[in-house]
Amino acid sequence: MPATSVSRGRLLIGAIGTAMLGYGVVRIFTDAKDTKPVALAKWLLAALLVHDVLIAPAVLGVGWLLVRFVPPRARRYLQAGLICGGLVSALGVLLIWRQGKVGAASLALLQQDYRRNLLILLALVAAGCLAGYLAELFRLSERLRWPNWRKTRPPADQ
Amino acid sequence: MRPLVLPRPAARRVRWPERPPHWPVLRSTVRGPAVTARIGRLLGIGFGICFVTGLLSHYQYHPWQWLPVPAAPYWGYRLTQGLHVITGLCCIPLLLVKLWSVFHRLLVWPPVRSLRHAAERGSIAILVAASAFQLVTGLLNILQYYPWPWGFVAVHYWMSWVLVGSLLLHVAVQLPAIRSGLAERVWRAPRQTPDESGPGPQGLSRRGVLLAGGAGIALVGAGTVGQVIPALQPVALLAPRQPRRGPLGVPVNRTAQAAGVIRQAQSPQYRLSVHGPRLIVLTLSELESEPTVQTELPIACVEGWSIQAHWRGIRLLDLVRRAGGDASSRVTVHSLERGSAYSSSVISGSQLPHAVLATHLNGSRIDIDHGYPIRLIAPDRAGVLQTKWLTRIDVA
Repeated sequence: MPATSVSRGRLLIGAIGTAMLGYGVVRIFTDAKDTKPVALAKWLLAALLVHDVLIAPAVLGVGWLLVRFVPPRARRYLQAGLICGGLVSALGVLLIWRQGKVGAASLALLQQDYRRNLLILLALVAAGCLAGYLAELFRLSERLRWPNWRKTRPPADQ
Repeated sequence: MRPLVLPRPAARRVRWPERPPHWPVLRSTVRGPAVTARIGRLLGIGFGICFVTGLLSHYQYHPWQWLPVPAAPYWGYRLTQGLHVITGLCCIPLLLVKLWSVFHRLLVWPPVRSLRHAAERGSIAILVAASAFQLVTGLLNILQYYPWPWGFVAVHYWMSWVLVGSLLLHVAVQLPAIRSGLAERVWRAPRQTPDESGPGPQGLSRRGVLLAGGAGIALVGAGTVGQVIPALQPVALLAPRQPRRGPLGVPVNRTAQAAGVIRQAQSPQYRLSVHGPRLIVLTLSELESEPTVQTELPIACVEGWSIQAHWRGIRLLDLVRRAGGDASSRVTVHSLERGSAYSSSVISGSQLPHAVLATHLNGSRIDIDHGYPIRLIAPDRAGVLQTKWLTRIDVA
C-alpha cells in the first residue's frame, strides 16, 4: 500500500479544526430554539450561491470584456481601479442601501451622505489609476526619445 | 517536525466522463498559490483576530460568576470590540479577493475525484459559506438590520466556531501549497513578458492585483476606523457611526422614546431604590444633592464604535455600602425600560469600586437619550451593559 507522509503539526491543526467545527455544529443543533438550523442552512447555501453564481461570474465577465476590448497598457490601470473601487463599493453600496431605512430608535447610525462619500473614494481611486497611466505614458515617451538611456547606466543590481 | 507516515487509504475513484466541451476552463497567470497564500494569510490573521476578540465580547455578556470582567484596562472592550468590527469589515474585501484567486478551482474537472477529494471540497464549501455568512450578517448587525428568524448573538457565536474550525482544517490540508505559494517571489519577480502572460497579455500582474486589492482593503479600513478613533472621524467616509455625533457629543444606540421611558423618566414621582440589607429610596432632588465624583470613561458599543467621555455622578459603591453591602457585593442595576434583554445588568468585582451612577455627561445634565435621570458607567464594559434610566439597584 502506498504511504503518504503528514507532519504531526498538520494532523494536530486538522484535529483541532475538526473538533472546533464539530463543536460549533453540535451547539447549533442543541441550541436550535435560538439558532433555527433549517433557516440557517438555507442562508449558508444562499451565501455560497450568491458568490459562485452571481458575484464571481460577473467579475469574470467584466475581466473578459476588459481583455477583449481594452488595449493592454490602459487595461492594467483599469483593472487595478476596478478591483480597488469594487472592493470599496462592496461596503459602500450596502451603506447607501440601508441609509434612510434605519428607524428613529437609534440616533447617529448611518447619518452620513454615503452616496457622496463613495463617489469621493471612487474619484480618488480613479485619479490614482489615471495618474499611474499618465506616468507610464510619460515614461514611455521618454524612452522613445532616449532609446539608449539604459545603456548609459550600470545595471540596477550593481 | 518528524513526519508521520500514514497508510494511504485505497482510493475509491468516481468514474466521470470526459470533460464536456463547454465546461468553462479559466486560465490566468495571476490567479494561483502565490496570490492566494498571501491573501489567505492576511484573511486567516483577520479571522483569528475576530475570533479572539469575539470570545472576549461574548465573555462580557456571559462571564463566570467567580471571574467577573476586570476594570483594567478601562479601554479594554473599546480596543477589542473596535478591532473586532474594523477587522471584520476589512475581511469583506479580503474574502472577495481570496475567493477570486481560487475561483478556477471550483470548476475543476472532474468535480470529484475520490471520497477524500469530496470531503476536502465539502469542508471548503463549509468554510466559504461560513466566511461569507459571518461577514455579511455581522455587517448587517452593525447596520441594525435583521432579516432572519434566528437570534443573531447565538448564531454569530456558534458559527464562529464552525468558521475557525473549518479554517484550521483547510490550513492543515493546504499547508504544503501555502508554503510553496508563500515561497514564490511576487514583489521582486521579473516583469511578465508577453509570452508568459497568457490570455491577458500585459494585463495586471500578481503584484498589481495584490497592490490594487491592498489599496481597496486599506481604503475600507481607513474609511471605517474613525468610528473607533474620533480624531479620524473626518475621513471615516464609510463608517456607519460617527463617534462625536449624538446628544452631548456621544452617539445613542437606543433612544428614550424607543425604550418607552420618557414619561417615567421625567415624572415627579421618579425614585431610585437600593435594595440590600437596608432599603434606600431617593427622590430626584435627593439624588442630585448627593456628593459626586468625576471620571473619564469610554462608551464602547458591541457594534464597534466608541468614544471617551467625561462623566460626573454618584459613586455606586457609596450607595451599596449605605444599603449594607460592600466592595465584594454582586450588584444588579435595573432600568425603567421593561421587556428588553438589556434592561438590567450585573456589576461586581474590580468594576464595582470604579462604577459611577452618572448624572452629568461632558459637563451637562445627562440627556434623556443617554439615560436621564441616572445611568451606569463603569470601565471596560460593553455599551449595552452601561444600563440607562436606572430605577432600582439590588445588592446581594
